[in-house]
Amino acid sequence: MEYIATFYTHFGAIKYSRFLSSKNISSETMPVPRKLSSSCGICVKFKTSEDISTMISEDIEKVFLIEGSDTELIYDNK
Amino acid sequence: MKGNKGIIFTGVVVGIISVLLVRFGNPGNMGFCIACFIRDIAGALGLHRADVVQYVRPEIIGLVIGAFLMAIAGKEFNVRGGSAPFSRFVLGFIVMVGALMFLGCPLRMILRLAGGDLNAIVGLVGFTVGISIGIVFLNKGFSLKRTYNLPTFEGYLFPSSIVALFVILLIVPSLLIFSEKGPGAAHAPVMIALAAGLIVGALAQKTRLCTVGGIRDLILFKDWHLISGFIAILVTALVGNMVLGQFKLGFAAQPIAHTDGLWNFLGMALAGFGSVLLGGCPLRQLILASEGNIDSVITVIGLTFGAAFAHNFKLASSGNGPTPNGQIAVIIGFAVVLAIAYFNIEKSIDVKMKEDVQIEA
Repeated sequence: MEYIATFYTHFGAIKYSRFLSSKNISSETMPVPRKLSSSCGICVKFKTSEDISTMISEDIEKVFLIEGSDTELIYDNK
Repeated sequence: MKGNKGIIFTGVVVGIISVLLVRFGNPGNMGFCIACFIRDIAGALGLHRADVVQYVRPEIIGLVIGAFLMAIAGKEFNVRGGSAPFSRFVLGFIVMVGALMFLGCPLRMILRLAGGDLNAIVGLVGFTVGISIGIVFLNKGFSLKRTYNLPTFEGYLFPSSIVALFVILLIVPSLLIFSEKGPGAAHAPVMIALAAGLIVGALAQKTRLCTVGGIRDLILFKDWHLISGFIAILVTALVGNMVLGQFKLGFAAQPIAHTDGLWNFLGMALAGFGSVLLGGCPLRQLILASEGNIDSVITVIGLTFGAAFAHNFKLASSGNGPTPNGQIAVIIGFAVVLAIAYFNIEKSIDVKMKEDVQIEA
């Protein structure tokens, strides 16, 4: 499964990408795609087969599931 | 490239409108300048006494209303705030001091370049250096901490205040102060300026156009998306200025500009450094403020205060060059921004997981 996580802060994203590296999950840190948000932070895109519900950190604002060219909001920390 | 069409289109429109606003009466190379226009509004409200830069710029009113309406239409009006508000106020204040040392916000820097003002190249180098310094802190863990959701009504107050200002401009202009000479007296007709702001505000909200973000994303991610808007503004305004005979190449005798390279460099370096910590240039702050970001509202108030102080205490440059007070203020500004950057570095790299998370599939 491929996911994009958005964060409240820039450093939250950097920390999360380091966390993924420590678990040998490769990830890409990049500007949040426009269709996902009107704000301009950075996001982390990664693939994992683990249960995503155990991987939601406090810094994460939203998680999107990527299926082909579609993205589905699966978690929103309101 | 496909994904860049919107932002390039926006850049082209901003370039064309900026050139036309000068043709319709705005000061030279000042079709748009967020710093100058906020400064003019501060003057019109009597917050400073520099009688050559006092006018309620309808472009700013249009930007806010255009961005607000676009955010509502796109269901993107989200009211949030609470991320180090007073640090943001201070950063906004200092960004304005830096911009008024150079004589223009980053957007006007592009427009000055497009008008042939080579001092803007020095500014651009400084701006890029300032952003690079900010990025070092971002990567070291700089953070103004997260935002929180706020009541929706809170978000309506800023656009409403701007509408109130417009009503005063139209119905009781006698409450306001207007320059009789100088840049404040040079302006396009009200409705043209308002329409220009509405269009640019709506497009900037839609595309997240940001001068600081463009250079930041290019340095951090080799991502050309935002900077392609920046380049589109430059190219379009350059061509437009040449067609309309508004292009004049050189350092000397440029409209509302000075030739002191060191202080042009330092002014924009300070503006770039402060803006990257804020997460966006003054234009972007104005757009975010209009779509419910209360932290950006606080930043805009900081910019306004900075402008008022800059003119009351003779910090702002003029065509004759920088002032000693302005030079001292820029140096203090660097010290304060460095302190904000340093003391907001998060030491902990721990990632704390939430428990019992509900995933919607």
